[in-house]
Amino acid sequence: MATSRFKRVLVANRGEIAVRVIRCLKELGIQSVAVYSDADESSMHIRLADIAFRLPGRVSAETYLNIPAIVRAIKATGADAVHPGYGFLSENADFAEAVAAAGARFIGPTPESMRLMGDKIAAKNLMKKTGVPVVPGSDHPMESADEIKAIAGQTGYPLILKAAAGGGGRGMRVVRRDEDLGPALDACQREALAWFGNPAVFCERYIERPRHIEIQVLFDEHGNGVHLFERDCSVQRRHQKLVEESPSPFLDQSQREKLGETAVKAARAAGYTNAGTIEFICESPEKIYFMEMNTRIQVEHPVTETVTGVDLIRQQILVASGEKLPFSQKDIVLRGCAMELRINAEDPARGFAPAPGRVPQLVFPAGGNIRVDSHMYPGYTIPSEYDSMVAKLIVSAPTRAEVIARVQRALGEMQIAGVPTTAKFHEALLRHPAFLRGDVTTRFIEEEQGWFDAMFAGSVEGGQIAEDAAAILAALAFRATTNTGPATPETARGTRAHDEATTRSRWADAARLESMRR
Amino acid sequence: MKIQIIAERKGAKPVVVDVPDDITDSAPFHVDVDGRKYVARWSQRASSLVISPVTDPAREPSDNPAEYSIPVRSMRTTRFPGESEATCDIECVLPAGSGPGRATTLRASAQRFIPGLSHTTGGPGGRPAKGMRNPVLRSQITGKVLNIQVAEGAIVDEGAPLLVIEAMKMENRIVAPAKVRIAAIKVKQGANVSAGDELMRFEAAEA
Repeated sequence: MATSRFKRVLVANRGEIAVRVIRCLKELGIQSVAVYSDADESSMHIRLADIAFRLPGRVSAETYLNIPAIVRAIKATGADAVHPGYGFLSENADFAEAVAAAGARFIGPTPESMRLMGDKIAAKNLMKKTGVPVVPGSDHPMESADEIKAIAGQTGYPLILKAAAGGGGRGMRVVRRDEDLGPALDACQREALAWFGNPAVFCERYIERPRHIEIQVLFDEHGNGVHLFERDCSVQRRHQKLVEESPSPFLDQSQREKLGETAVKAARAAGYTNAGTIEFICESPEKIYFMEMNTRIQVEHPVTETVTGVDLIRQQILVASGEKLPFSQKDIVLRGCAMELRINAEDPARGFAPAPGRVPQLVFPAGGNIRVDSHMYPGYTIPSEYDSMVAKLIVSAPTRAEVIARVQRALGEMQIAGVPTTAKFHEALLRHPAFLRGDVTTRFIEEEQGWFDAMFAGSVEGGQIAEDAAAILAALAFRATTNTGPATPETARGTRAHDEATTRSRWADAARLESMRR
Repeated sequence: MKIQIIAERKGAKPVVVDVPDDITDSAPFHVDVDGRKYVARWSQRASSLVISPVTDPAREPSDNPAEYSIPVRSMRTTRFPGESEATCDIECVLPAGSGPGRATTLRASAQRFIPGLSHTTGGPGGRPAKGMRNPVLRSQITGKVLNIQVAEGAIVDEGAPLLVIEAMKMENRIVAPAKVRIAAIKVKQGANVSAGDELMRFEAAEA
């Protein structure tokens, strides 16, 4: 059944992406190895994997970011390949080399491609040479304010200073006038050194209200490569994506195909293999510039899988084992429309404050064209050590309007007790006229903060019965804090987290954010 | 049990909900909202409320037609020791006027309704300062105190940074809710805190 030469693949990650990769390995008939930290000892990915290996410690630096510990896991379990997922060590060229030195294949691009695309100045210069449009700016690290002033003379203000080794929205400064250049350069160099260990800073014209559009590419090791169309990820908060969709409502078919061809050209110039994403910053459909390349699978890959029918994780594994792509560009067809909503354990009504904790009851929506990728199960405790993303809801339909109606229906079915989530942000978003028109930029959430805050306080549209139903629910919720009632089977069975809570004093117990034990 | 509910949205008026002290899961019970009468069933397992308005008070609960179904995603109540008031966060699908209902978010404050007493806010430590809802600052988050940016006795303006709590890879800045004096700091740098733990106590900035 399995044609792959891999027999046992170690997944160097946690959470939903570890679950996603392990599911795919099972379908390929390949054994899976889960690694887990002490904070993840009751995690779903261990349950699904064939073999598990403990990484002692709780924090990321000791566990999922610890290259020697993961190399020990590779050797101890005899894994012949490693899938890095996203985040953690997925874009770390040293890790890819360490995996190879341990005798296993790294499922991803070569360390050389990772290093090249990780250096933003080198990547930008390569793109420029290849004929891919880039944002006008400097092509080498900036040493002085005067040097930047000269560039401002050509591009005009505002300018943005960026760390060459940066990413994730850190180490950036927007400058609007000459006088601010000196202090901004100093601050930016300091941050670049502190966060990325490299003080190199470059500058480019700052685009005030851009859209974020990215192209998925996939290359085998025999020179074949395709793009799988775009994802529009303009709904972001502080550079963190919240919703991704394909196709982008911003592009027409010819612009879409042109951007795809540009991305293939860019990846080919970098000698890229495996799955990757080229991110573009869009000022208008005609002014689209290369921003950076992500040399890994991305959180939002299911959007592309849904509209193209290509299993990207499966292709990553097959390509890494030396197989040729089973399709060419003409076989990749975009069908319908798909949207992914990130469900994070954060409270949108309290400034998106993280909210780890126990989830006593959990029901995901179902029905046609709904996919949920998550590592949660009823009774799961979301740890506070890691990322807050706990589920992804992926919905598809022939048209964007039908997708939106289906997402609204799906959110209404979803039940996540115990912790607040970004589901309530999404409900508000799905009522915003600009989002419904497909007309948002990366500044949208920031600019519409007041509108969202009003929505988070609540909206009741059904008249007196709805008003009274809301009041009855609030009364039932309040009643549950004054009247503990008989033990439910859940409390009798207990979990470690719950036992800890019940051994605290009653005052301390009452002080916790309580949820109805549903 | 009479419970006074004030929704947080604009223009919402307090309502008093009278619910029975004992409710059996999935069994019908009578509930009264400011004099409007309903028959309701609450199923904790299914996380669902069903209500129907009572048009004829003499009618038996089991005879009521036209039930509205309200699936609930999440119901959370935050209530701290010594405080009579709780905050209820509810995510549910309410019955709509026309077309299917859509998931919505509700936040309300709730407390036992005692006739003759007006709705008050504030907890232990006496009268809250002007513009200050509560003299106790509690962590909304389970995480680690990265640093504390004020000292005991300091007077800070509304919005002034007080401390930073790290959780889920994010640095969360906690700011002053009003112009206050920092009466006490209850945590140390590097401490792990749970949601609900006391971080600081405030006093009115002016004596």
